[in-house]
Amino acid sequence: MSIGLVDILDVKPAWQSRHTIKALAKDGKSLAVKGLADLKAVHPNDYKKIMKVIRLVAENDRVQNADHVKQGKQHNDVYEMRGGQARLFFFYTPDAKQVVVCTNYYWKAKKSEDEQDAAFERCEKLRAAYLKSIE
Amino acid sequence: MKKNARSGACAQEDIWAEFEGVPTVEEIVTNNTPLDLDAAPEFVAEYLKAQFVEDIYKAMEEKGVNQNQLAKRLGKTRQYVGKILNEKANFTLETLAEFACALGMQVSARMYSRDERMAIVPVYPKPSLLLPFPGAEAFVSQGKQPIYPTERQDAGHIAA
Repeated sequence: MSIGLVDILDVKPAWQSRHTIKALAKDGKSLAVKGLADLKAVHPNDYKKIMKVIRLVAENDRVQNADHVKQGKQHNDVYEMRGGQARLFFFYTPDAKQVVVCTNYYWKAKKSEDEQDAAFERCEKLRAAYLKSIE
Repeated sequence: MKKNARSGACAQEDIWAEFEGVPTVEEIVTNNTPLDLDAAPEFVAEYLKAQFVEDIYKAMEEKGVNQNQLAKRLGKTRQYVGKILNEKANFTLETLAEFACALGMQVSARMYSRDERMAIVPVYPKPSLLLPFPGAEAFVSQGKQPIYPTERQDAGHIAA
């Protein structure tokens, strides 16, 4: 099993002045890349909204506007990007490399805290697994 | 209960189970047409708005100013400030200037090449150039152009 980081489609190198944006992949497969590709095909407007937030995350130390980025309640090290109904979960690597790792994605069809909590939980588990893999 | 039981049973390998049914990134990239978002004015404008709001939040935190205080400084209502912070209002250059001035900040609207990057760096005071003739400090402190005494032996050193 190979765990690594891959580039995200349409994210420009010029945006990444503060943080490098990557997606978590296992054996060359990524939930975040797949989710964003589907979003781009089906909901192009929400795709642009989430890309805007990705750019904000890339260019700022920490995004303070909670309309765009929300920190996990149970897990403080994981965050949610919000663009329309699209939700992309990520964490900042704890080292000095300043990488943002996008882990999982979901489409918020209706207001559901359970679904959000589960997505934060999944992000935290993927974070722990990734950090363990690079030890 | 159901949820707890499920997450409790979630073993390390289950975390990766979802990745199995997903196409590889290579396949996704091959079937994808790249989108140049920096060439889309609507995207650029939305991003600029969001980044400006982000800068307002940052400045408010640094200066210890809340929304009410900011509204007061601007001479506007709290609702107006809320509308700007929610990115619901149209921004003009005047809006940017008003918020920047109210928060004691600078603001910039520059256009530059797409292979360039703009950076914000702190300003450090330049070391003062003390001119070696009587009364030279007066020229510097008054903000006037210093007159270089070319006849003096050390003039070349100053000019260099």
